[in-house]
Amino acid sequence: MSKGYVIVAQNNLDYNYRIVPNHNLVPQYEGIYVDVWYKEMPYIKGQHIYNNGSVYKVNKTSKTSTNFEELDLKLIVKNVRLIDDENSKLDFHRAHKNDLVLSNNKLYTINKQDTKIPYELTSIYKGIHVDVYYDNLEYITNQHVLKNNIVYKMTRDSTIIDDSTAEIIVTDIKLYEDANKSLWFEDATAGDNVLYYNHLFQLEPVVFDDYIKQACYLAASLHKFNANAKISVITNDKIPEEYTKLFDHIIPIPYGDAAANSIWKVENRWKVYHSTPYDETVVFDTDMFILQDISSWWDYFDNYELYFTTQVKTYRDKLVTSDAYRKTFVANNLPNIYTGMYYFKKCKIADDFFDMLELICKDWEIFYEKFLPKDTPFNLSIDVASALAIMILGIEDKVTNKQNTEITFTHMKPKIQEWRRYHDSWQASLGVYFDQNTELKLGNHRQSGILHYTESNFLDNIEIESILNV
Amino acid sequence: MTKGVVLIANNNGAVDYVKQAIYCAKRIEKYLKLPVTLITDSYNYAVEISNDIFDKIISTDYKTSNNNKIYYDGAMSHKIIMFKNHSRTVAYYNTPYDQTILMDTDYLVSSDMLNNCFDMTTDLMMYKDSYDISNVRDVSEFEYISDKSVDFYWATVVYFEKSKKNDIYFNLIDHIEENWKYYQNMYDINSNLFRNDFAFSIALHIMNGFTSNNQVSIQLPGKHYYTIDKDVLWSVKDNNMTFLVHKKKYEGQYTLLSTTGLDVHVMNKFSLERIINNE
Repeated sequence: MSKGYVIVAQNNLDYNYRIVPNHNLVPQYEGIYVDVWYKEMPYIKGQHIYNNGSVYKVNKTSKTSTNFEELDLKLIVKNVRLIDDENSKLDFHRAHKNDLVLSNNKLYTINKQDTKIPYELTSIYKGIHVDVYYDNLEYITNQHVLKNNIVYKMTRDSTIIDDSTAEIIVTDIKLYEDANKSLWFEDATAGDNVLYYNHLFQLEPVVFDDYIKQACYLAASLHKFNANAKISVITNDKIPEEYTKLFDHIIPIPYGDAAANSIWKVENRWKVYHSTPYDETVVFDTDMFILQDISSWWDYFDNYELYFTTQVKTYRDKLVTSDAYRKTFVANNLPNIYTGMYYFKKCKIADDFFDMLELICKDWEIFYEKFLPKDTPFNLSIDVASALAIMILGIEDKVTNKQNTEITFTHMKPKIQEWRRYHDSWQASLGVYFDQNTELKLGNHRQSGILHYTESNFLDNIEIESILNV
Repeated sequence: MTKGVVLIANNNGAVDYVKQAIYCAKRIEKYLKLPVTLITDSYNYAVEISNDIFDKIISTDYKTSNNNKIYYDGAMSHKIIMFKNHSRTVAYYNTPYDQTILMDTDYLVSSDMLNNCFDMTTDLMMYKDSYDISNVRDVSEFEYISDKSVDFYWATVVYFEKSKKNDIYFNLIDHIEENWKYYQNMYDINSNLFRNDFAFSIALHIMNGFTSNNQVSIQLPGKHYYTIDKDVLWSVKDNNMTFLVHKKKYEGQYTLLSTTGLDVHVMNKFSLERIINNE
């Protein structure tokens, strides 16, 4: 019988996220509050508005839906670049030192420019040099030119670029940076295609939750204390090459990705049963870190076909008694199980459980409405869905043991730590001390067992090289 | 194996701990039938008034302290007084007994429960769990030595035998006391007040490899009952004690409560002193 650990890991990406530049700004035109112009809004006499790179003062009060050209305005200043606003969907500019900018309704000049590019750049159309279009210059056959966010390839020599002189290569290209700083540059969001110093790139999506990184750290910590552990990861994301050796199998998510557009990435969890390469499997959440040899736990799991812990611990090794994060469980009498770590073997009871879990994951709103009328969660939670599956199947006694307080993990959500005062992040309350021997102290307490750290930046405290042991 | 109790009494000019120790020793003699040794910086005074109640009286150097503490006498009255609680480990180094119970002088014994210590097979015992006799007040301050820090253990009553392990433990307590500023910061203790409970707790935590998994000591037999200094000890008759227990939300109002056969840690030193003076 093969035994192994499985992690389901999907990075949480945002394909449309703008990282606002962090320039050092000097106020200009102090006391003036400038609204971005919207056609749908009325404007009153004396109000300052911004449109198309200029700031104006309204001479005469206007009604809603008035065209910009019909407004009675006085030009105050030109060449103003919009760099930030409450409405993040506006088209923003990239600005440089000494540029006049509008940021959140106030005018500034840039004293010190934030020059860093906050996204990974991936080259597209490699090897192609693209020139920026200037009026009255002649372009030659086969030259690539960016004009009005379109990259053309000249089909003949010409000063004019249109269908008769050029073919369209790619559209929706933003001019992001160039040697000529007098140009107007557009700011971009993750996922955009840009022209950056005459070459085309895609700005990579922003990774909000790097579950792959978490999975690698988890696998490394498992190997550190559990020699010869078999570990598989189920993911459609790329595992960094240097860490692929941590895994025996890297398994694509089967039956399509049901979590592509979700934040918590739990919609695919039920598939672990169908994807595991092992006869007996322990499933881990990605945000777990192993601090001891847990290989003997397999002997305990042998008594069960499916097993969940119902008792988790604080960092002070006390059983969690608070129900701060378990309102739904208490209100609806759900079994108090945790899925941060659980065990199953291929068998009838696990078949039934994962079939039910699949149904719940796919139609969780219907199940929640019917079975969880009180404190109904707003999102699919795999803890809640699994508890519901157990309740519906009536198998709680077969898959839990309330007396067992050893096969468990330390749960670091702040409200359950028996603290009188706490912050949103437990790391704001406790020092994290990690040493080269993979010993971890949280505050005054040395940790052992399994840590469910819950906050992704916890890994900033750990150098993975110090725990690599494979 | 010799058995006995050690009390420490360092007078501070406001509370007569020697008198308390004599009163405490009488109760120990009555209920535990154990010899009592007093360690004090008021040796001559103790000899003069103790009427041979003590098995031994050991003199220590007189020290002053910057450790000032608010002592309540019921809910409506308090004084700020020097808290001379230093060098509690002197009991370990000077005890004349093989098996020793170190006890605060404000711990009023009313049963023979602590005699069970001598039948145990462990060399270090102290209370972790404690019970406010009112049974309704928030006791969380005695769960941990500070909000985020380590388990709270009471140094009020400690059973020990001389051993290699206990040599290390009491040496460590000395080290913590000597470097209190450091440990106060390290263990997130807001108050500047040095408390033996804190030092004993921190040392235990360190001895347990910085974990709460206590392999070094076990709990003493029985339960550790206490009353806070906002309560008033009203009367004592044999093993029956009557208290006025402060109503938390009604300043200056009390509930009458009595105990029979319970050992109780009485934190209101002034009301205890009134009882002693009226005996």
